[in-house]
Amino acid sequence: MTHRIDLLKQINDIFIDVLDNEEIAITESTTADDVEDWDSLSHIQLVVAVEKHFKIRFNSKEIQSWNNVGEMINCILEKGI
Amino acid sequence: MKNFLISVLVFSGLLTSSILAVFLMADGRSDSYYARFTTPAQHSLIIGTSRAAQGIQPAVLDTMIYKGTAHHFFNYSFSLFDSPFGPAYLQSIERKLDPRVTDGIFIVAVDPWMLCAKNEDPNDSLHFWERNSFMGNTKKVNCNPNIPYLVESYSEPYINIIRKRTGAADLILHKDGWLEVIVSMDSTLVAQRLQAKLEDYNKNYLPVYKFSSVRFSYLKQTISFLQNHGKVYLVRLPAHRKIMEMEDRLLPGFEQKIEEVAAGFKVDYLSFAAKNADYDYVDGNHLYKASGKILSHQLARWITEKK
Amino acid sequence: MIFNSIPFAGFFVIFFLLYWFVFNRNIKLQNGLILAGSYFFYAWWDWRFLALLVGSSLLNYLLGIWIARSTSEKKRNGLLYLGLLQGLGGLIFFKYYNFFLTSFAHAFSEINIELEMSTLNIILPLGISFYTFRTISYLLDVHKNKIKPSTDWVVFFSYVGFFPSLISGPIDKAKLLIPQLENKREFSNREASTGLRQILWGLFKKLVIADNCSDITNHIFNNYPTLPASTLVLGALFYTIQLYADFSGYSDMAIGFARLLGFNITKNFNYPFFAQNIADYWRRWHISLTAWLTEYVFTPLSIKFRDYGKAGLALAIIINFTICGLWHGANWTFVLYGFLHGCYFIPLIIKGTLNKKRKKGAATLLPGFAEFGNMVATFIVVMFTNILFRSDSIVQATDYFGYIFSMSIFSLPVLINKAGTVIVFSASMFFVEWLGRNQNFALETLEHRFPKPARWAIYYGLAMLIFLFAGKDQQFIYVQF
Repeated sequence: MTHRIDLLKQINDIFIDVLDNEEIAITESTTADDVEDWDSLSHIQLVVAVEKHFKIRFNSKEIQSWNNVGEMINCILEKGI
Repeated sequence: MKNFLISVLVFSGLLTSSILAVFLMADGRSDSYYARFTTPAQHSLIIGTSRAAQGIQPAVLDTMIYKGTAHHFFNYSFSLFDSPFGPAYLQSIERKLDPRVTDGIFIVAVDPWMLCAKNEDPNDSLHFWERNSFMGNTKKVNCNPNIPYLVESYSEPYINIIRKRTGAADLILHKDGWLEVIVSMDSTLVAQRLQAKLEDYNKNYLPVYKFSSVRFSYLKQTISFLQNHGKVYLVRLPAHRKIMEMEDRLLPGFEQKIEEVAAGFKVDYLSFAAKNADYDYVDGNHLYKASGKILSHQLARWITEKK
Repeated sequence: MIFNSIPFAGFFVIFFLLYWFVFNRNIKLQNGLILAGSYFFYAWWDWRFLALLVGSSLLNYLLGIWIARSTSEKKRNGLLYLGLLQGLGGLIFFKYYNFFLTSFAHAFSEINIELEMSTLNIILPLGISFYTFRTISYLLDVHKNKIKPSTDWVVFFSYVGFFPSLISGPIDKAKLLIPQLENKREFSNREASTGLRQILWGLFKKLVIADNCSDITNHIFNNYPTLPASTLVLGALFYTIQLYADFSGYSDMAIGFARLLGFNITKNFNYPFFAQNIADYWRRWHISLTAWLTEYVFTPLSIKFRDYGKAGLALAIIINFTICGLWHGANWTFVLYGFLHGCYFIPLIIKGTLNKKRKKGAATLLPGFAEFGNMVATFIVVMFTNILFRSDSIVQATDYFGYIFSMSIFSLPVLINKAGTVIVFSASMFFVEWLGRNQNFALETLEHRFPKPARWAIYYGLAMLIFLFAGKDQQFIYVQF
């Protein structure tokens, strides 16, 4: 469980960096609707940043299946991180 | 739900009465046609297009022909687009004429354009333009206010009904159907308007108007219908020389055609064509009102002589 | 039967009463009424393609169930492709067949090969671009397990054919509309009067602004070679206002009618002319279409191109907007229109300011200086590109541009009949929308701001303005797409 919390923190930092907004504080249930600058355009930049950070590669289906941050974390965990 | 429906009904009622109030304000200044559909059915009619609408003044005819009687002339002429001879115009005339009349006087103004059609096949009466204009659409022609006309055929924003009552009018449609045009007769302006008219007719009318035997036959049907209700007089109104030259090209032998019709129906025909230099025109096509008054006098005298 | 016609008013009043008073006891019955009413509405426009609407509803209904039921990935994909083939195939055949044919023939004749091809006389089935996009999104979402397939055929057929948004959108997603069809709708005084208010506002935009604009723009675009350049600029300006008033007015009416029936459908406009840049503009213009394209075109493309950085992003956006342009119709003008809008994103991508949504402005009476400057700049870009949107061919559009950049730009524009009225009303519309820009439509929260007598005075005033100043009946522009 601590691993998940740690991952969430790392992802939060990525969001702050990519979206250029210090105030972002995401949780597992956060969706794109909850973060003002997280839209379809920034989504892909977030994905690329996450991939680079964890040195993993998602496939297209995985990326489009996420409904919230938690599901993204599940997917990262599946990659063995 | 109940409150909602009541509110909607009250609001609709309020709105409908306001709309009616605006419609009640419609009159001879609203457009060039409306007022003709707001009188009761008539006794004696002037039939024709815009030339007759502006050129023949019923008031003048009344003083000479109907003095001391209860009868009046009514100008039921419209425009070349809307009232050339044809099924739509004839039906409209039938509606406007009081069916009990047997001693009416009917002045039918003729010109070459009225016997022509601009649709591809000039004898295809289903595609006559006026069929879908107010002429074909207005079934009620004797009611005031004429709401069907205002709803279906009034072609301007309704604000103009109000606006035109207050502003300086340049067109006034009198209660007797005469369309008075208020326009400057400064000679340069007249020349400009003539030039514009000639260009327009040369470009948009002469090439597309073709003789229509259907329209010609409707001239005869119109005469024959009116003869059941009184006496018919045929008249050709004058126009500027250059316009009349165009008409000779459009339909050579027009005068002869009409004389034959007149002889066939035993009606009198008066052509002002040869005297066209005696009158002033606002744009070459339409008589100026002072000239129209003189012409109406001459016309009335001729009718009294023939009567 | 367009919304602003007497037959539709009659239809809707009868429908409304039946819906709430006769068929309200049972939701199945009420949905049946929606379906029957929608098909009646469609048949009134054009009964010939009703079978196509019913047929594609049926196919997509079955495919949705089969996709969800099947466990084999291969079979699921196969069924999805079948649905896409039918949807896109129908669209391509009816909308683009002749266009592709003539374009191919033209391309081959460039290299001196003459092809003998005859075009077909095809009529575009009404609303096909809109309802096809609904069925496609439905299948894709079922396939991705984002939604469960609908198992009530009346609900699904009503979703595809829902009459307020059938002819010209908004393109509602199944996730939004199907649950509303499945659950009982409650009548609410407040929702209903908000709906009526939105219809009134839509009528004002359509009849007073768009229809009067169209007199002016038709005149200018038909006579552009004879007019001074300054008038041509005005033509582009009025057309841009017209297009907005026409389509957002239509959308307001569609949403309002749905509201009267207890439905909340997709918002289609969010004050696009207050946008701060072109990306912002497209988040606010025809939202249901751009959201659709973003989800099903742009996102997959951007994932594919994500290794190429900004260039990949730009490419995905350009392809996305070219398709967006082409969606409007089979004409190179629309293709170029979309392509150009895609290109306008490039500076934003390079600067990296693409996803900087501006903070929502406080409800100030007037915009700030920089804010206003950005609005005007965005408007001008959109306005000039709209010349393509309005033109019948690329040649006409380039001609029009050519005349604009001639010397006569410094001449006074020819005064056009009605222009004054249109300017006054457009300015008032934009002002009212500016004040109401944080609402779903400008008059949404009127009841919190004004007491009842004042509200009634506003409704009465608006209704009388519509009656007195309405232009001649014009078809909605987006109905042809």
